Amino acid sequence: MIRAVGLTKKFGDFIAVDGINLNVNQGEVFGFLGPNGAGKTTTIKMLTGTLKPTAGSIEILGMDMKNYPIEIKRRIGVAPDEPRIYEHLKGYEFLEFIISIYKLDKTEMKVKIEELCDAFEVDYLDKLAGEMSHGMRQKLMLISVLMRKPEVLFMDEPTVGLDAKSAKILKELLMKYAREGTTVFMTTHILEIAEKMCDRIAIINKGQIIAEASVSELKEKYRASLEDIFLSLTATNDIKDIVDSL
Amino acid sequence: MLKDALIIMGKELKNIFRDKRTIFSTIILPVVLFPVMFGIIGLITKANEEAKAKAEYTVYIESTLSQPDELTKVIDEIHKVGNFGIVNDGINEKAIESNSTAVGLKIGKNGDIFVATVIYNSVKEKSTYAAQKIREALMNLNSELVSAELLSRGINPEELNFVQVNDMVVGVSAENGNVEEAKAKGQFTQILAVLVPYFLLIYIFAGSMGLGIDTTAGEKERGSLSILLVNQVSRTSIALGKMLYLMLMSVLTSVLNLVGLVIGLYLEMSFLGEANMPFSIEIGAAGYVLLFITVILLALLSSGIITLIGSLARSVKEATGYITPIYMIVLLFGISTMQSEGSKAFYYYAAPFINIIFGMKDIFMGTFSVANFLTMFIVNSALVVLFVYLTAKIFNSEKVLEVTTE
Ligand SMILES: Nc1ncnc2c1ncn2[C@@H]1O[C@H](COP(=O)(O)OP(=O)(O)O)[C@@H](O)[C@H]1O
Ligand SMILES: [Mg+2]
Repeated sequence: MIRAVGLTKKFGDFIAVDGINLNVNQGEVFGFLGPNGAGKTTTIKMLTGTLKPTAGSIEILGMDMKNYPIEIKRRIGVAPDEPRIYEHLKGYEFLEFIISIYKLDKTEMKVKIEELCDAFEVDYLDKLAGEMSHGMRQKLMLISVLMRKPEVLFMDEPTVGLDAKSAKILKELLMKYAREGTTVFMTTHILEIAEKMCDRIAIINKGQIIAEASVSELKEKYRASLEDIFLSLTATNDIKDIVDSL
Repeated sequence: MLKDALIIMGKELKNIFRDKRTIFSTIILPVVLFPVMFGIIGLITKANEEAKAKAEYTVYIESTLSQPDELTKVIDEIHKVGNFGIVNDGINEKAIESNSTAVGLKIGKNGDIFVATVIYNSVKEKSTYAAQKIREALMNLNSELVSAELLSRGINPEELNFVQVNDMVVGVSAENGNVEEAKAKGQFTQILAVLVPYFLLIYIFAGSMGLGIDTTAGEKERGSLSILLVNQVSRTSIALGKMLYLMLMSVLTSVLNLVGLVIGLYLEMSFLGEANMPFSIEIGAAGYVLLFITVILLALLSSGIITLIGSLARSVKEATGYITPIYMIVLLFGISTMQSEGSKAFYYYAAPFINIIFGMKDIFMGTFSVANFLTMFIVNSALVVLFVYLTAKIFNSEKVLEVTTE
């Protein structure tokens, strides 16, 4: 579903993402775990066609990003790390805008929106986005993505900024979608989320993937909690030893 | 692609009309700008003229005329031209200096010829006006004396002309030979030809500047551009949608500006009366159509170049930095061409912005030429197409992407 080979992004001389390979299967919840500044957002931006890679290739749903960017965007959903919504649009106007861009069926969407609003306790669709709090905008953004029920979901730190209940609902929803065949690619720096939700995780540090396995495999390998593994993997010292032993 | 562009345009419009400042500056201000401006000019002019005509003036007279009926004649003439009180006991210079409605008149005779000196305070408008009226009275006296003298010699003064000069005013339609009126109209038309293109140029360019920078660089800065980039729209559609939105706003503003101009002219007329101050642009229906086309070209040209530069810039600050010099140059074009007349050499019509100023001048001054207008039309349309193309290219390149630094 998601395949990247030798994916690289340079900003000037700085290498933000350094030749990573990714392979995520259908129905999988894939966690992209790494400390701040590791290159998670940059990777997700390349995978979703916002940033053009300096090198490497991307294939989503069997289509090359270079040749089919619009077709890919039609079938995926992206929740960026920052929910930036046009300040002067009301909540429902933003949703209508997304519906018109994707040329979706209005009545069908109305049902979905109502369901999602109930789930996330969103009752402020007639408020201007500029008057919403960060968390409120984030839930609106999530609804705008989830209502389309895309085949592949990219979520950049999706639970950051959500209250505990909404975060829990999101987690459950994503796992339910995955069971129904949706592929989920999510970044996070929170171990607990990766551990609880993800089928498989890749740990990225300084633009490079330093470990990739299922959570149970990782735990088995190191006989430690995921937190200890994560911290030791991303610590500046003795990384090499751990990586070599993997 | 066009459909997506229209959806984006609609979104931009919805977004912008929530902003009260934008509604004011794009809808309300253009309509009221000219009416208020012309209205104030009209009101002040009218009030001023009325005040001057209604005021009571004092003439201090110092007469060395020996025959009493000669002075009576002079005073009669003065009464005919205005509201004058006569003080016949010498010039009171202090009073003339301190009192704005006072003038002095020294009058005597050198042989058969009246010799008069008008004393007034040139700093004071009313004193100047009164002096003017006294001069008028004296000239009337002169004409009467000339006629009487001629008649006494058996010559009809009406037959004394050997050269007759008639005025014919071109460029402005004179109503049935009413030459004076046409002259007044000519003067105002000149003012229009100077001011209106200048105002429209500034207003439309400055208006597009604010909105254009906001929808391009501003959206980059706020990060909301990423919503469009991650969703199912081609970048060409995004570029086109933004361009269309800005052009629509700019055209809307300019049309409202023109509507305001017409309202302003009517206001002017109702204040001052059509006969007194015929402040009208008699450019005819065709003239209005040409003006409309020219203004729309200006709107498209401005929004085109602003969207292009705004898309190149990484931040509002950077965009403002790039566009301000262009705005200055456009302003400079406007100011430097304010005094020059219409109908210039071909190359004036090949230069963007300048050609629009001269195109408008030509319409107001009646120096319109099809070849010049077509040159202007083709040059500006070609530039607009080029700007759209380049903006689409920028949106498809990395340029527009690598700005969203978190
Ligand atoms: N547009 C950009 N220009 C320059 N450097 C960037 C840009 N975007 C990200 N970076 C740098 O790339 C690195 C990875 O950033 P990012 O992918 O946002 O990290 P994170 O894993 O926290 O999401 C950081 O060091 C960041 O400063
Ligand atoms: Mg990030």
